[in-house]
Amino acid sequence: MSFPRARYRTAPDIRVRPVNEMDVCLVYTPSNPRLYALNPTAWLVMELCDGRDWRSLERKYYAAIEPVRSREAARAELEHTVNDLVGMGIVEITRKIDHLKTTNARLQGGTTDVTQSQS
Amino acid sequence: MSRKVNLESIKRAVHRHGATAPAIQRLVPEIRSNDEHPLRMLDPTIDYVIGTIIVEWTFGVPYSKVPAFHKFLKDKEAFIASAVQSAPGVSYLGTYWVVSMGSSHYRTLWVYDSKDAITGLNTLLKSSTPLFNAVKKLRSHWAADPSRQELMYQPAAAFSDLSSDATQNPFVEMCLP
Repeated sequence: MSFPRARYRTAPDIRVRPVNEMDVCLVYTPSNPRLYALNPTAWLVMELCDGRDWRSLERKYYAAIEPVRSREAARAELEHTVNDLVGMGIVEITRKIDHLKTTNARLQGGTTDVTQSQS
Repeated sequence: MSRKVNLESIKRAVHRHGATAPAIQRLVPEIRSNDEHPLRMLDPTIDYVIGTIIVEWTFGVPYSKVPAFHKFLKDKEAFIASAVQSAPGVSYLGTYWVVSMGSSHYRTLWVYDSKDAITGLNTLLKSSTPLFNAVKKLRSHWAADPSRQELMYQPAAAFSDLSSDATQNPFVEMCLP
């Protein structure tokens, strides 16, 4: 999971609907039509996947849930959850160079998606 | 289009729930076919039920608004219950809180003798501003919940014979043995 060049981000086509009064987040994956309900912790993991690398993801996740979990336990459940999110098509793994190209394209108003999954 | 993400709000939710392990549940949507049944009239032999037509509003209210909502009910519910009786065959049975630890969920129950009673309440609401405003306030809590539901019930015993429904609707027919 912790490829040094990998970046984790939410898939661009998913539909996200926070239900704040129930503390859940609903996510729809149109490419594989399914609906998911994420509890707050899974929701946090998903939102942390904003293009950051694994090390940053791990650091931010641990900072958010300490002291409830040890660093090792946090790492294990983060890895498990990100794996699940990737498998469900909610999060995708991109290479660093792809992520930069996509970000540039978005900033310039382009629509070209140069993402290439690293599965 | 990019989404606005409030990470701090999500973190607060995480800790409100004791930072439980991440959980993702797949939801299987209910696909409703059009096997609808015509409403039944009041059956005098089914006199043990609370009503012929029951309408239930199901909704949640954020905790920050719970005290004000309960105060509103204490102040206005008796008025609503009394005022709707001006429409024949209409009763307001109250708004009930799911009393348990967890989310603040409510059920509001209305009872009608017939479809005409529902029409009668609509007419009354148009002519009585105080009642309209009170029900509007109650309804606004229901409307504010994206997960709200509104369900209509009739006594199941009133549907003991579905054969006439089946002759009118093939979707009913295909569901019968």
